[in-house]
Amino acid sequence: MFTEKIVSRQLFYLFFMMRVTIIISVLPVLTAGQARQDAWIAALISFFPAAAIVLIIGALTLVFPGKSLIQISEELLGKLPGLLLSVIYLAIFLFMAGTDLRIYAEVLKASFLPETPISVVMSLVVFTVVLAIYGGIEVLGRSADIIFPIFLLMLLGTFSPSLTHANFQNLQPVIAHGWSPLSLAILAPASIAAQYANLTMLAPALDQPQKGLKAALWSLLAATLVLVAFALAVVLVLGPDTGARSTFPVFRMIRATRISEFLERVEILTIFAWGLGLFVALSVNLYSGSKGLSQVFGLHDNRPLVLPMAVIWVVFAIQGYQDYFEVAQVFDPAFFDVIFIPTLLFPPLVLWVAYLYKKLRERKKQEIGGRK
Amino acid sequence: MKREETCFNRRTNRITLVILLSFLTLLLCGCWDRIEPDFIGLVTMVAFDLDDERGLLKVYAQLPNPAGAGQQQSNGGGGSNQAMSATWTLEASGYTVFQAIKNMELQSTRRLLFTHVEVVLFSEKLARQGIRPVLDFFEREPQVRLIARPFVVQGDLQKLMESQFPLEQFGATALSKQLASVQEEAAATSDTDSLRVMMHRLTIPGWELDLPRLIVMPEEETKKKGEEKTAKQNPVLLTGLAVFRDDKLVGFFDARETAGCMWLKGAINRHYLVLQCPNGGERLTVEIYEMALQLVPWIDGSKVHFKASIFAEGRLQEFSCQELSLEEAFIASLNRRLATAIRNEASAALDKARELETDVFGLGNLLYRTRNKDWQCFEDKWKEIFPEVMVDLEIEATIRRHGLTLAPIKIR
Repeated sequence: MFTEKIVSRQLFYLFFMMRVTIIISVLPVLTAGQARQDAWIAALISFFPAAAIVLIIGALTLVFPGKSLIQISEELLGKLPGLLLSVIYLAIFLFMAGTDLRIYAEVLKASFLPETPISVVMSLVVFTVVLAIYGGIEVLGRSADIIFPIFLLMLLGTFSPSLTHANFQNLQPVIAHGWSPLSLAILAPASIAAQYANLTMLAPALDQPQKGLKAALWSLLAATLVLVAFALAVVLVLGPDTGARSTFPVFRMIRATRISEFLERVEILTIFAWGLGLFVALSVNLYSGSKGLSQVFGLHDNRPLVLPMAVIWVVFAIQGYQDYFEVAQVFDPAFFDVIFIPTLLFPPLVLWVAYLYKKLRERKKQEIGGRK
Repeated sequence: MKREETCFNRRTNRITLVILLSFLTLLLCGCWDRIEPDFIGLVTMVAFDLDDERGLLKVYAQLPNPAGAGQQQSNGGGGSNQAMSATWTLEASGYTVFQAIKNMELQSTRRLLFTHVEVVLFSEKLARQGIRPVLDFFEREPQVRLIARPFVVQGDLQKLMESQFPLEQFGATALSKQLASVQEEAAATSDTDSLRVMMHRLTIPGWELDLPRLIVMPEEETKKKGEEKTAKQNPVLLTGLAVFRDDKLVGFFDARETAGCMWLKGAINRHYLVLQCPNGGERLTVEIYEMALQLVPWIDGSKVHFKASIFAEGRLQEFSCQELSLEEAFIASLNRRLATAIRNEASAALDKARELETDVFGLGNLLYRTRNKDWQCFEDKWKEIFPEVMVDLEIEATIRRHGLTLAPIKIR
């Protein structure tokens, strides 16, 4: 069987679209916390904690090139403890995919299709994703090549018309209440860097695994700039208050835009971009999840697992949240920063400790051996 | 061997493709949310009023009537007595907007869709009670967009909803065009041109809301019974501001006060002033085509002062005085007159706003934006402080051009 490979450019595209989609849809810099008109500053700063998370997770792929998190933990901790540790990540992939899927389905349901059963909306998306994953990671990488320019164009189409209504007075006063109201707004987008957990599964599929972390960090930087742009646009057009009260601020902003007397209602571009981005996000999560599970079970191929996992996902996305009030709480700092982030960082930190301990012991052994 | 394999693959691929494509037909039968176009009534204008007797919210909706519009076009505007109207107005009441709309649907043969609402009207009565109860409808319901244009109507709301416009088929198009052209050509009405701006103004500190005012014209008396109902006059006049405190209407600015308000907001697009000739009873008209405003607050103990510097540039639009001298003193005296006229307008607006105790100029908001520390002391009592706030006006007005003629005509 031939090996499937992607290149770091495609990895960059995948992560960029994944992060931008989720971060733009709910715009947590504005809706979580009290940053209000300073949301763009919070967005800018959020790069640093997010980059820290990416580094903690991603640097493992540099130390163990070509190995996935599951293989790394097996090697460092042994069969059973390693397996237990990997299950945490598999659960995270499931959780993130389910949440992404639910948010997208809720956007469609709240805005366009109030009567269509949510399971139909989800199943159609997931069906497409399953097809892509059956094609394999290479197919995913190449579709990222094709989708990325379209995605970028749609983003521009969403962003630029909003500028016709920009009112720069909305940005004042700048940091009127000190930095503390910003803290939550910084942490929320930073915690969504959890998506970069996928790096531990995607990096082994790179033709040069060492380049994975670099591409991931670049994608984070690019996505941060997009986030800053949209945080600005929403505040400039809607004002901080209307923006912060919105369920989907960017969506409301574009709906409130009248480019001219005859050109308005351009939100189809936004929804189009979300659809593409969600496809990418779900595909990557499904790939990571199924690949990880197949490695846990010692299977050669992840394909047999794809379809059953997809079904589980749809069920999770529907059953995991009773209503949208509950989905909104996912971005609640009490959950995200107290429960989710420690869970996310626990496995890589354990692995780092194990790795350093091993290194230390090896060095000691060498020293002892050297003395002998 | 190898070739056979590829053939086989190609065949299976083809079969899979056919199966997949046949799945697409499932989508053809439509989704749960399909609506046939001839079951839709597109509402383009909604109006909110109060039903006093029952204490309910009264909602009007105007729908273009495709049949009526088509008929009018084919008849060339005139024709039979039974001509269908181009629009249809519905009315219903309820405790909430949604309930009223549902009651409205009971009278309609078509499902009402609010996706294309262009104009939103508030009656004076409702506005005085507060518009907050209807606001949530615009934000939560995905159908209405914030691009719709809000107005406050002085006069008979129902009559306006049912009236016809001489140049336009539909009321909603007529009113949005009227607003766009008045905003473009004069400083006679509010610069609030969408629900988006309205929502924003309601939520920012230290800046009260103002909306364009529509005055419904009195009925023409010459109309006889059975006479064809084509409009001879525009049913509505767009002039002045409806001024709010929080979400409640507290009063109106007339055209002059509105212009003053626009000077102090720095929002003048185009405006004209009629002045007396320096030597004689005739009048001259100056059109303002450029302006700038600089507002500087300063705080003296517990008192807040503002210095408003207005720079205006105009051109001579009409000059019926006897002589146009090019002497510097003459031009300077014209400029001084212009400045005085501007000052009068601005002070009229200030006086009215003080009388109504509502900060429509956004003076408090300026403090909030630029001197946030000071604003925090005033925030809670700004509404009481505002009438005592001193605004020093400093006006610099220049007439830059005189048009295609220099001296006015001399009749001998």
